[in-house]
Amino acid sequence: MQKASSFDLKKWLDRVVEEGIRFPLYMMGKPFKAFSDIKYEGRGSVPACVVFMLMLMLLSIMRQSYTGAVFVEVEPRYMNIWMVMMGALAQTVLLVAANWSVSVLTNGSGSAREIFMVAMYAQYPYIWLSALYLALSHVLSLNEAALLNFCLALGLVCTLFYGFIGLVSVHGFGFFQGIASVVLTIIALVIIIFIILLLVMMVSELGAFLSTVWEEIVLHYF
Amino acid sequence: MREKMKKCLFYVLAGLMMLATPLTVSAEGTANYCFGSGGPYRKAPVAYEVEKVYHAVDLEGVENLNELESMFVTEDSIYVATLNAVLVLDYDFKVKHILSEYEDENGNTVKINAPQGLFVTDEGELYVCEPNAGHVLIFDRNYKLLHNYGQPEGLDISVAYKPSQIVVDSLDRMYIIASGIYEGILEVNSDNKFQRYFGSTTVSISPLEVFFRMIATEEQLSKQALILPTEYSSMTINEKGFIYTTIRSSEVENPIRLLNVNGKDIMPEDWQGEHPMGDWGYAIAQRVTSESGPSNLSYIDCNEYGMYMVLDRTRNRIFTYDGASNVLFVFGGSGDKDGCFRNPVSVRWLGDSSRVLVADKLAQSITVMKPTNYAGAIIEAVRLETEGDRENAVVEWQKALEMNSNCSVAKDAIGRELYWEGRYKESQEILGQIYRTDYYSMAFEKTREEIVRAYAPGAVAVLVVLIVAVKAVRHVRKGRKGGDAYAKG
Repeated sequence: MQKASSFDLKKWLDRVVEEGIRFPLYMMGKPFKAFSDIKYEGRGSVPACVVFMLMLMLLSIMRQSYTGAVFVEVEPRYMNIWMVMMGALAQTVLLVAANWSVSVLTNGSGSAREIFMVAMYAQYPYIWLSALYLALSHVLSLNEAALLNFCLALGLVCTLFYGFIGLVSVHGFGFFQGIASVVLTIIALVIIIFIILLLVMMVSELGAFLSTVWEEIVLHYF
Repeated sequence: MREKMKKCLFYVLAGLMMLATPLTVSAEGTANYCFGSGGPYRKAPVAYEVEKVYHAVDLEGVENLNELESMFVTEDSIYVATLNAVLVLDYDFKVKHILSEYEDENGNTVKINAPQGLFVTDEGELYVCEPNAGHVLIFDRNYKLLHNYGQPEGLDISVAYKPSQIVVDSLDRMYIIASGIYEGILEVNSDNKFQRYFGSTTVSISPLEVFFRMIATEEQLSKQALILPTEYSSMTINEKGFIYTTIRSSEVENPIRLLNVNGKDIMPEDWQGEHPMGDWGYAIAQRVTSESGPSNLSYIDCNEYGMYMVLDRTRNRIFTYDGASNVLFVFGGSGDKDGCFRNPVSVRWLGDSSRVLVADKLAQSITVMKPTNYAGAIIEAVRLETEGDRENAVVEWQKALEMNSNCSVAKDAIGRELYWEGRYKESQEILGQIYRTDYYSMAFEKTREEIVRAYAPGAVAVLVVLIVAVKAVRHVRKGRKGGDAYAKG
């Protein structure tokens, strides 16, 4: 009884508005300040970032299945919902992992948690812009496609811009250090992908080998 | 991972196709499919069926059909090149003339020797290419030799002159494909003077190749294959003087070309931006049949409605296109049964009736194929469209669509016609199915306009009323507050 009353809807809503709207907007206005706030004053929240991640995954699915028919890129009937979702998730996870592994080597002071938050907050404008894209794709025609492309391009530029600032402030890097870190991150990303591919192939080879052995045994003894 | 899944999917699909093939295979050929949006190989009804197969025994006075090389069809005759004769047949395959020898300028009798390309002008002059003898023979209506043209004057080549294909335009200029000459088609004027190379193909070399060639030694270079432009494999000319050509190569991205008078390729891309090239989903086909690789196009013929068909030697299929480069239907296939071919070398439209002749070199036969109701409807639709009768064309397209709900060309044509008729909603619906976005977008603009027209005045009115109401309420409140203040004061 006591516990139920302790849940304060108004407080909860305030928190949602604070974390989901006010802080991201503050980040967009004063990115350097906001990202150092994340680092030193514990602002921003991981649950909010997880929600952003889920929104990104949802949006990537919706972009493929609910874009207006004029702007369809992939036929929805050929879409694999899990693949699309995993694609969106893997992108972020790989980026964070690559950047974290590089920052560990280059004395960057950001933790994986902070890098994840940077990645998510940097994509905040992109989330809304792709939602806008989705909505506009139903009311615009091919002649007005430039507007839509602008939406996405703006989203991308914002992401890169805020992502870079976030990286620099979270790790305590200078400008050129930041650039170097980005380059190294890309290299690390390639290496990670290569290793994953290698692993997958090895495992499938192993599986094939084991199944052949099993087949031989079955054919020989039973 | 995605690739892996795709691969798995391909295997499963290929397996399913293999399972399905014996059950659904039809009497005629094996290549009964059409291309749809989002993936090739949708099943389609049989397009062409065999009317009759002619062998040498069916032709009076003809000993054999050895080394069939090419055919030519005029308004009343069929010309067939065999090893030692050019046969002239009428449309019922009654032999009109067998040209096996001729009298040359000096009065000697010379035998016809492995002729290849044939062409007959409107005046009835017959052009015969004899690559082994290295000349082009021109006969008049009565098969008397008019000219014997050897290597054209002014043509400087280091290889032997071997003309293999010829077309002649309305000004009697000859366009000759000669084997071993990579510069292009030879344009030769009517008195055998070389004019220029026509429709030259260019080679494309990747930067990487250039780099490796730069660092390679002389010895290494001498062992590498020469990079040569591709040769044209066949050509045909339409009544306006445009030349259709095919290129027997997988490396060029536009193996079917339509050359204008300047030799420039003006073949349109289809609405999805694809060049016509025969099979384009061959990676999938590879798993279904034993042959692999892209289509190897070796023969082309066009008709007066802007349709053309090309012969694919990889899988012995015949692809028929309309003037906008859409694949209309595919037929043929490899095999021994009627409607399949073992080594087809030449395809030709047979006059107006839209029948098709296919010469098979290995089977030594000429097959006459007639369109089924399905292909008949499509051909009729294309014909009506070229004549400008769009309404009746749509009726034919509708028929084709009823026989094949995968037929995206029909959907496309119907959708566009609905748009021009102003039935935007229906147009949108049918074009949406095939993702023809350009016309869909145009139709969408119209329906959007209708919606805006219908609702905008109402919406504006509501907005105005709301604003006025809000203002009024505020005004009243202010007034009351003021009144209160006044009362208090």
